[in-house]
Amino acid sequence: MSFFNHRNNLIHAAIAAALSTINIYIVLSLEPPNLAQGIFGNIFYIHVPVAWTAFLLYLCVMISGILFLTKKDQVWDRRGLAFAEVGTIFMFLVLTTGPIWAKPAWGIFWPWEPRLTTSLILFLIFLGYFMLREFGGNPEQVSRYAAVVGILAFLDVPLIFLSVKFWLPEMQSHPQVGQYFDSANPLPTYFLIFSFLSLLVVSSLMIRLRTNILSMKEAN
Amino acid sequence: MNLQVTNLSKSFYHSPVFQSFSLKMESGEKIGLSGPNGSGKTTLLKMISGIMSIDSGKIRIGENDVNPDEPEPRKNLYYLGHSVGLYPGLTGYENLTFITGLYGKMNSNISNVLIKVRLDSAQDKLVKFYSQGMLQRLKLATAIILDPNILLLDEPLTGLDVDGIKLFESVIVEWNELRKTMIIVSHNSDWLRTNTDRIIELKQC
Amino acid sequence: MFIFGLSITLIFALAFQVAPMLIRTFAPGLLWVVILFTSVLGLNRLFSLEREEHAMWSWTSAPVDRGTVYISKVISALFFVLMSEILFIIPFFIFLNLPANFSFFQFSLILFLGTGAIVSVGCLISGITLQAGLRDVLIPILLFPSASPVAIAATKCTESLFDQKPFTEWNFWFLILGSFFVIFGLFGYMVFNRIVEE
Repeated sequence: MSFFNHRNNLIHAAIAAALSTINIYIVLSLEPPNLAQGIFGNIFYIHVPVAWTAFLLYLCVMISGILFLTKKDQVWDRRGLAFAEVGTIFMFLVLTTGPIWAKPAWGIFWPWEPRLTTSLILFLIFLGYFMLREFGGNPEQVSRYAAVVGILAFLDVPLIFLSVKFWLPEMQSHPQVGQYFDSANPLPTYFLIFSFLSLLVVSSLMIRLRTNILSMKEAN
Repeated sequence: MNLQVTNLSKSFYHSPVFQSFSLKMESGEKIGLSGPNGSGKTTLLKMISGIMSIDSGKIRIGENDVNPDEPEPRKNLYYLGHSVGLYPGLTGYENLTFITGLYGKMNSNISNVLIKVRLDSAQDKLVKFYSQGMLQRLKLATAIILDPNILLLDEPLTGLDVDGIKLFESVIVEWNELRKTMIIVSHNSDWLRTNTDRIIELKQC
Repeated sequence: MFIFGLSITLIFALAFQVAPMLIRTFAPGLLWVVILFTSVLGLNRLFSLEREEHAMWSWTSAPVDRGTVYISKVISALFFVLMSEILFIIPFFIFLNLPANFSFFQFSLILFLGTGAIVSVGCLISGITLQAGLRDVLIPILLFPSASPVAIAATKCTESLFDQKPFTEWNFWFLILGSFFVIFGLFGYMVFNRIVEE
């Protein structure tokens, strides 16, 4: 592929591969944040950074949508689509790692926890986004429609989160992310941040590759 | 009212239709647009009328730039398209009342104009039952009532009988005397040569 | 829309016959399921007149603020959905044997605000899917997740009202409904221009 013929892209890919390998090694070897959960507890170190990355990517979809509608530059449409695709892959990972972590942690696969529920709803909206991209009509109009849906989806996030948070008060009794951080042991915090940064490197590589493919497709 | 198009670009399905197209029309000028199918004649009229977005460039009507967020420039023009562009479930009279209301001309004498275009007997008929010729007459009636400074006529003679064509030509003469700016699209080059000041031939990109 | 709402009410009544006491617990949620599904029917038809014969061109080329057209569509959709709600609400209460000992004014406000919130985002989605091939499928796929805060908030308001709780206990949900209505109403007004351009 011509993308990996460029030196900078190869370096980016190498860094992403190295960071991912270190990430996986640390996840497997680090002590679980909650010993009672065993090795499943370490999914926390994947689930949380993946969720942060997914939401960040969806925020980028909204920003790309706004820039596309105001500047009418096709570049922002391609970027928006790339952010949406990679963001949805990450969101899918959130929705799969969430239940895997939830079962040993809280005894049920789906706790209707606000963040997980918000993730599910956003995931569903973006499935609709891709259907719109595919069946929405002529490409020029669809680009605009997709930009609007991308903005609408992220505008909805605070309302969805607030609604779900106060919907079932008894659901708030499950452990919050903050409870895992013990100020005497900063290692989990550092690792979470490291994991998030490595996922940013991986996702940015995926986005650059996808944007490159979309540009080449358009040029042909 | 003068009309100016500067460096207009537009693409469909990533294929360019217009690339840095420019056009300048003085007030009262009549231009004919001709060209093969797919050369962008209807697209140009739709972009000027605001129905279609532009990728880049500028369209200026009088002192105002055409901008989808600004309705003001659209007050001075009327687009007579070759699609129906009317509500099929309303009568001819109701469609005219609706459109003239949008332009702020609520007290217009619609009935008299319908008599002029010989549609008075069909004014209470639903538009979905109109023939092509009747639709063209109804759109002509709309243009007469709205009395805009700029007229964009997309194949205005399609479906008209001999009387209809004579009626249209007489109205164009009246508009000419009133110094209205007109862009007329037609495949009939002879007719355009007789009825316009100059002809622009569009080619496919 | 009224007949559709009535049909769904009938299905719920039949489905819950094995556990009639459960109906009272689930009634607020069932009501908003009926309203959401009925709204989709209305939203499917919202731009059907404009789709035929490019009738939209009559106002996209006219000197009108297109955001105002969006607001007028929201008002007309709100009117038609509310009218059908008024018609199937009474059979809903009768078929499901629900008591009606609450403030009708507050109930009307909840219906108005909840329906308005659904319709404000629904009109936008209906406009987006105007040219789409699978628009009958796309509208509910995009609408239901987007309107989930409305479903939650409206159900909570209705549940609190049926339980005769004081307004101070559920004013938060009322605020969520109002915020949704305003945010998406404003958003729709701002972007409708871009949606109706060819």
